[in-house]
Amino acid sequence: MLDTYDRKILTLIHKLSVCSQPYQVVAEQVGLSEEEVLARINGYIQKGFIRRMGITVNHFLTGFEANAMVAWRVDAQDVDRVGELLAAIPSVTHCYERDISGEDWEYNIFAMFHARTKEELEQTVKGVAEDMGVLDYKILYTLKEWKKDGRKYL
Amino acid sequence: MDTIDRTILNALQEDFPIDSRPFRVLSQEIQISEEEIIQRVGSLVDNKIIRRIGASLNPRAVGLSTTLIGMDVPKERIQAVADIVNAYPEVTHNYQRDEDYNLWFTIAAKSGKEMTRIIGEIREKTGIEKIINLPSVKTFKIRVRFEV
Repeated sequence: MLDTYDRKILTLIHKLSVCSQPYQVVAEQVGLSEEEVLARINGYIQKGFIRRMGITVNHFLTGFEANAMVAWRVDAQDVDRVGELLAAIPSVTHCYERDISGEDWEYNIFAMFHARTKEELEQTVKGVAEDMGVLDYKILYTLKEWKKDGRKYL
Repeated sequence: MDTIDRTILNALQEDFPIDSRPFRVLSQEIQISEEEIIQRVGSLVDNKIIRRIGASLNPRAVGLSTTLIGMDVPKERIQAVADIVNAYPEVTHNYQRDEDYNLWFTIAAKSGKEMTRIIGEIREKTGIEKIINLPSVKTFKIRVRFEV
Protein backbone atom coordinates (compact mmCIF):
# COMPACT_ATOMS: atom_id res chain seq x y z
CA MET A 1 0.00 0.00 0.00
CA LEU A 2 1.15 3.50 -0.77
CA ASP A 3 1.32 6.00 2.06
CA THR A 4 1.25 9.79 1.76
CA TYR A 5 5.03 9.95 1.43
CA ASP A 6 4.98 7.38 -1.36
CA ARG A 7 2.40 9.34 -3.31
CA LYS A 8 4.46 12.51 -2.98
CA ILE A 9 7.71 10.78 -3.89
CA LEU A 10 6.20 8.98 -6.88
CA THR A 11 4.87 12.29 -8.18
CA LEU A 12 8.12 14.18 -7.62
CA ILE A 13 10.51 11.61 -9.08
CA HIS A 14 8.72 11.86 -12.41
CA LYS A 15 11.09 14.75 -13.10
CA LEU A 16 14.24 15.17 -11.05
CA SER A 17 16.33 18.33 -10.78
CA VAL A 18 19.63 18.34 -12.64
CA CYS A 19 22.08 18.85 -9.76
CA SER A 20 24.58 16.79 -7.81
CA GLN A 21 22.02 15.44 -5.31
CA PRO A 22 18.63 15.30 -7.02
CA TYR A 23 17.20 12.83 -4.49
CA GLN A 24 18.12 15.20 -1.67
CA VAL A 25 15.89 17.81 -3.35
CA VAL A 26 13.01 15.32 -3.31
CA ALA A 27 13.77 14.40 0.31
CA GLU A 28 13.54 18.04 1.39
CA GLN A 29 10.25 18.50 -0.44
CA VAL A 30 8.62 15.49 1.23
CA GLY A 31 10.26 15.87 4.64
CA LEU A 32 12.19 12.60 4.77
CA SER A 33 15.92 11.85 4.78
CA GLU A 34 17.65 11.29 1.46
CA GLU A 35 18.53 7.79 2.63
CA GLU A 36 14.88 6.99 3.27
CA VAL A 37 13.88 8.34 -0.15
CA LEU A 38 16.53 6.23 -1.90
CA ALA A 39 15.40 3.14 0.03
CA ARG A 40 11.78 3.76 -0.90
CA ILE A 41 12.65 4.21 -4.60
CA ASN A 42 14.52 0.89 -4.59
CA GLY A 43 11.42 -0.62 -3.02
CA TYR A 44 9.22 0.79 -5.81
CA ILE A 45 11.41 -0.90 -8.40
CA GLN A 46 11.30 -4.22 -6.52
CA LYS A 47 7.53 -4.02 -6.24
CA GLY A 48 7.14 -3.03 -9.88
CA PHE A 49 5.60 0.38 -9.14
CA ILE A 50 8.22 1.97 -11.33
CA ARG A 51 9.82 0.30 -14.30
CA ARG A 52 13.03 2.29 -14.28
CA MET A 53 14.78 5.53 -13.48
CA GLY A 54 16.27 7.07 -16.57
CA ILE A 55 16.23 9.92 -18.99
CA THR A 56 13.61 10.44 -21.64
CA VAL A 57 15.08 11.78 -24.85
CA ASN A 58 13.15 13.74 -27.39
CA HIS A 59 13.27 11.24 -30.24
CA PHE A 60 12.20 13.84 -32.84
CA LEU A 61 15.24 15.95 -31.99
CA THR A 62 17.60 12.98 -31.94
CA GLY A 63 16.78 12.04 -35.53
CA PHE A 64 13.85 9.66 -35.17
CA GLU A 65 11.48 11.58 -37.38
CA ALA A 66 9.20 8.77 -38.52
CA ASN A 67 6.96 7.60 -35.69
CA ALA A 68 3.88 5.50 -36.08
CA MET A 69 1.41 3.47 -34.14
CA VAL A 70 0.90 0.28 -36.09
CA ALA A 71 -2.32 -1.60 -35.37
CA TRP A 72 -2.61 -5.27 -36.31
CA ARG A 73 -5.64 -7.47 -36.73
CA VAL A 74 -4.81 -10.73 -35.03
CA ASP A 75 -6.92 -13.80 -34.18
CA ALA A 76 -7.36 -14.38 -30.44
CA GLN A 77 -5.36 -17.63 -30.44
CA ASP A 78 -2.46 -15.92 -32.23
CA VAL A 79 -2.17 -12.83 -30.00
CA ASP A 80 0.66 -14.05 -27.77
CA ARG A 81 2.85 -15.20 -30.65
CA VAL A 82 2.41 -11.91 -32.53
CA GLY A 83 2.80 -9.76 -29.41
CA GLU A 84 6.05 -11.47 -28.51
CA LEU A 85 7.45 -11.20 -32.04
CA LEU A 86 6.64 -7.49 -32.18
CA ALA A 87 8.14 -6.94 -28.73
CA ALA A 88 11.42 -8.44 -29.91
CA ILE A 89 11.90 -5.77 -32.59
CA PRO A 90 14.36 -3.08 -31.47
CA SER A 91 12.49 -0.22 -33.19
CA VAL A 92 9.30 -1.11 -31.28
CA THR A 93 9.07 0.77 -27.98
CA HIS A 94 5.57 -0.16 -26.84
CA CYS A 95 3.37 -3.14 -27.65
CA TYR A 96 -0.05 -3.92 -26.22
CA GLU A 97 -3.03 -6.12 -26.81
CA ARG A 98 -6.18 -3.98 -26.50
CA ASP A 99 -9.81 -4.81 -25.89
CA ILE A 100 -11.70 -3.81 -29.04
CA SER A 101 -14.99 -5.51 -28.19
CA GLY A 102 -18.03 -3.43 -28.98
CA GLU A 103 -15.96 -0.71 -30.67
CA ASP A 104 -15.89 0.42 -34.29
CA TRP A 105 -12.31 -0.85 -34.71
CA GLU A 106 -10.89 -4.19 -35.76
CA TYR A 107 -7.20 -4.04 -34.91
CA ASN A 108 -6.32 -5.50 -31.51
CA ILE A 109 -2.51 -5.36 -31.25
CA PHE A 110 -0.78 -2.00 -31.10
CA ALA A 111 2.94 -1.39 -31.52
CA MET A 112 4.82 1.91 -31.63
CA PHE A 113 7.51 1.98 -34.31
CA HIS A 114 10.24 4.61 -34.54
CA ALA A 115 12.68 5.13 -37.39
CA ARG A 116 14.80 7.82 -38.96
CA THR A 117 12.75 7.90 -42.17
CA LYS A 118 9.31 6.79 -43.37
CA GLU A 119 10.93 4.44 -45.88
CA GLU A 120 12.92 2.75 -43.13
CA LEU A 121 9.82 2.45 -40.96
CA GLU A 122 7.67 1.00 -43.73
CA GLN A 123 10.36 -1.46 -44.73
CA THR A 124 10.61 -2.69 -41.14
CA VAL A 125 6.84 -3.00 -40.77
CA LYS A 126 6.46 -4.81 -44.07
CA GLY A 127 9.24 -7.26 -43.21
CA VAL A 128 7.75 -7.96 -39.80
CA ALA A 129 4.27 -8.42 -41.25
CA GLU A 130 5.54 -11.01 -43.71
CA ASP A 131 7.59 -12.81 -41.07
CA MET A 132 4.59 -13.00 -38.76
CA GLY A 133 2.12 -13.81 -41.51
CA VAL A 134 -0.13 -10.99 -40.33
CA LEU A 135 -0.89 -8.86 -43.36
CA ASP A 136 -3.90 -6.91 -42.11
CA TYR A 137 -2.50 -3.86 -40.37
CA LYS A 138 -2.70 -0.08 -40.35
CA ILE A 139 0.16 2.38 -40.04
CA LEU A 140 -0.98 5.49 -38.18
CA TYR A 141 1.75 8.08 -38.49
CA THR A 142 2.24 10.67 -35.79
CA LEU A 143 1.40 14.00 -37.45
CA LYS A 144 1.51 16.17 -34.37
CA GLU A 145 2.18 15.75 -30.69
CA TRP A 146 -0.54 17.63 -28.82
CA LYS A 147 0.52 16.47 -25.39
CA LYS A 148 3.16 14.36 -23.72
CA ASP A 149 3.14 14.53 -19.98
CA GLY A 150 3.49 11.21 -18.27
CA ARG A 151 3.00 12.67 -14.79
CA LYS A 152 0.51 10.57 -12.89
CA TYR A 153 -1.80 11.84 -10.22
CA LEU A 154 -1.97 9.35 -7.38
CA MET B 1 25.58 17.35 -29.68
CA ASP B 2 29.02 15.80 -29.69
CA THR B 3 30.34 12.33 -28.92
CA ILE B 4 30.44 13.01 -25.17
CA ASP B 5 26.78 14.11 -25.19
CA ARG B 6 25.85 10.95 -27.07
CA THR B 7 27.75 8.77 -24.59
CA ILE B 8 25.93 10.45 -21.71
CA LEU B 9 22.53 10.12 -23.39
CA ASN B 10 22.97 6.46 -24.21
CA ALA B 11 24.25 5.64 -20.72
CA LEU B 12 21.51 7.51 -18.86
CA GLN B 13 18.73 6.08 -21.01
CA GLU B 14 19.74 2.67 -19.77
CA ASP B 15 19.68 3.56 -16.10
CA PHE B 16 19.80 6.66 -13.95
CA PRO B 17 21.59 5.64 -10.73
CA ILE B 18 19.55 5.52 -7.53
CA ASP B 19 22.32 6.97 -5.41
CA SER B 20 22.95 10.10 -3.40
CA ARG B 21 25.29 11.30 -6.16
CA PRO B 22 23.94 9.73 -9.36
CA PHE B 23 26.11 11.78 -11.72
CA ARG B 24 29.23 10.81 -9.78
CA VAL B 25 28.33 7.14 -10.28
CA LEU B 26 28.06 7.80 -14.00
CA SER B 27 31.30 9.78 -14.03
CA GLN B 28 33.13 6.70 -12.78
CA GLU B 29 31.68 4.63 -15.62
CA ILE B 30 32.36 6.99 -18.50
CA GLN B 31 35.48 8.85 -17.24
CA ILE B 32 33.98 12.33 -17.46
CA SER B 33 33.88 14.52 -14.35
CA GLU B 34 30.67 14.82 -12.35
CA GLU B 35 30.63 18.61 -12.88
CA GLU B 36 30.97 18.29 -16.63
CA ILE B 37 28.20 15.68 -16.82
CA ILE B 38 25.83 17.86 -14.81
CA GLN B 39 26.63 20.87 -16.96
CA ARG B 40 26.13 18.92 -20.21
CA VAL B 41 22.91 17.28 -19.00
CA GLY B 42 21.65 20.75 -18.01
CA SER B 43 22.30 22.02 -21.55
CA LEU B 44 20.65 18.96 -23.10
CA VAL B 45 17.57 19.66 -20.96
CA ASP B 46 17.62 23.37 -21.96
CA ASN B 47 17.87 22.37 -25.63
CA LYS B 48 14.96 19.96 -25.16
CA ILE B 49 17.01 16.96 -26.30
CA ILE B 50 16.31 15.48 -22.86
CA ARG B 51 12.66 15.81 -21.91
CA ARG B 52 13.19 14.76 -18.31
CA ILE B 53 15.17 12.61 -15.93
CA GLY B 54 13.02 10.51 -13.71
CA ALA B 55 10.85 7.50 -13.03
CA SER B 56 8.69 5.60 -15.49
CA LEU B 57 5.71 4.54 -13.48
CA ASN B 58 3.78 1.32 -14.03
CA PRO B 59 0.29 2.82 -13.81
CA ARG B 60 -1.55 -0.42 -13.13
CA ALA B 61 0.84 -1.46 -10.37
CA VAL B 62 0.06 1.74 -8.48
CA GLY B 63 -3.65 1.24 -8.93
CA LEU B 64 -4.38 3.49 -11.91
CA SER B 65 -6.71 2.48 -14.67
CA THR B 66 -5.55 3.26 -18.22
CA THR B 67 -6.90 3.33 -21.73
CA LEU B 68 -6.29 4.50 -25.30
CA ILE B 69 -8.98 6.59 -26.92
CA GLY B 70 -9.37 7.25 -30.65
CA MET B 71 -11.55 10.10 -31.91
CA ASP B 72 -12.73 11.01 -35.39
CA VAL B 73 -12.47 14.80 -35.34
CA PRO B 74 -13.24 17.14 -38.25
CA LYS B 75 -9.90 18.70 -39.30
CA GLU B 76 -10.95 22.26 -38.56
CA ARG B 77 -11.86 21.30 -34.99
CA ILE B 78 -8.67 19.47 -34.08
CA GLN B 79 -7.09 22.31 -32.11
CA ALA B 80 -10.26 23.02 -30.11
CA VAL B 81 -10.87 19.35 -29.34
CA ALA B 82 -7.21 18.77 -28.41
CA ASP B 83 -7.44 21.71 -25.99
CA ILE B 84 -10.49 20.22 -24.27
CA VAL B 85 -8.85 16.81 -24.02
CA ASN B 86 -5.47 18.15 -22.85
CA ALA B 87 -7.08 20.15 -20.05
CA TYR B 88 -7.48 16.86 -18.16
CA PRO B 89 -4.32 16.14 -16.16
CA GLU B 90 -5.22 12.44 -16.46
CA VAL B 91 -4.55 12.65 -20.22
CA THR B 92 -0.86 11.77 -20.54
CA HIS B 93 -0.26 11.59 -24.31
CA ASN B 94 -2.22 13.00 -27.20
CA TYR B 95 -1.26 12.62 -30.88
CA GLN B 96 -2.80 13.55 -34.17
CA ARG B 97 -2.55 10.70 -36.68
CA ASP B 98 -3.32 10.14 -40.36
CA GLU B 99 -6.45 7.98 -40.06
CA ASP B 100 -10.21 8.56 -39.95
CA TYR B 101 -9.73 8.25 -36.22
CA ASN B 102 -7.25 11.08 -36.19
CA LEU B 103 -6.82 12.03 -32.53
CA TRP B 104 -5.44 9.37 -30.17
CA PHE B 105 -4.82 9.90 -26.49
CA THR B 106 -4.11 7.91 -23.35
CA ILE B 107 -5.78 8.38 -19.99
CA ALA B 108 -4.54 7.24 -16.57
CA ALA B 109 -7.35 7.65 -14.04
CA LYS B 110 -7.58 6.86 -10.34
CA SER B 111 -10.36 4.32 -10.84
CA GLY B 112 -12.60 2.79 -13.46
CA LYS B 113 -15.36 5.08 -12.30
CA GLU B 114 -13.17 8.16 -12.81
CA MET B 115 -12.27 6.86 -16.26
CA THR B 116 -15.93 6.55 -17.24
CA ARG B 117 -16.62 10.07 -15.95
CA ILE B 118 -13.69 11.60 -17.88
CA ILE B 119 -14.59 9.88 -21.15
CA GLY B 120 -18.23 10.91 -20.71
CA GLU B 121 -17.24 14.52 -20.10
CA ILE B 122 -14.92 14.60 -23.10
CA ARG B 123 -17.69 13.17 -25.27
CA GLU B 124 -20.10 15.79 -24.02
CA LYS B 125 -17.78 18.82 -24.13
CA THR B 126 -16.40 18.07 -27.59
CA GLY B 127 -19.65 16.84 -29.13
CA ILE B 128 -17.62 14.23 -31.03
CA GLU B 129 -19.64 11.07 -31.50
CA LYS B 130 -17.12 8.74 -33.08
CA ILE B 131 -15.01 7.72 -30.11
CA ILE B 132 -13.41 4.33 -29.53
CA ASN B 133 -12.21 3.21 -26.12
CA LEU B 134 -9.45 0.58 -26.22
CA PRO B 135 -8.16 -0.40 -22.77
CA SER B 136 -5.05 -2.57 -22.77
CA VAL B 137 -5.48 -6.25 -22.02
CA LYS B 138 -1.83 -7.24 -22.05
CA THR B 139 1.47 -5.38 -22.18
CA PHE B 140 4.05 -7.10 -24.36
CA LYS B 141 6.67 -4.40 -24.26
CA ILE B 142 7.56 -1.00 -22.88
CA ARG B 143 11.14 -0.11 -23.58
CA VAL B 144 11.73 3.41 -24.69
CA ARG B 145 15.32 3.68 -25.73
CA PHE B 146 16.79 5.50 -28.69
CA GLU B 147 20.40 4.94 -29.65
CA VAL B 148 21.64 8.47 -30.37
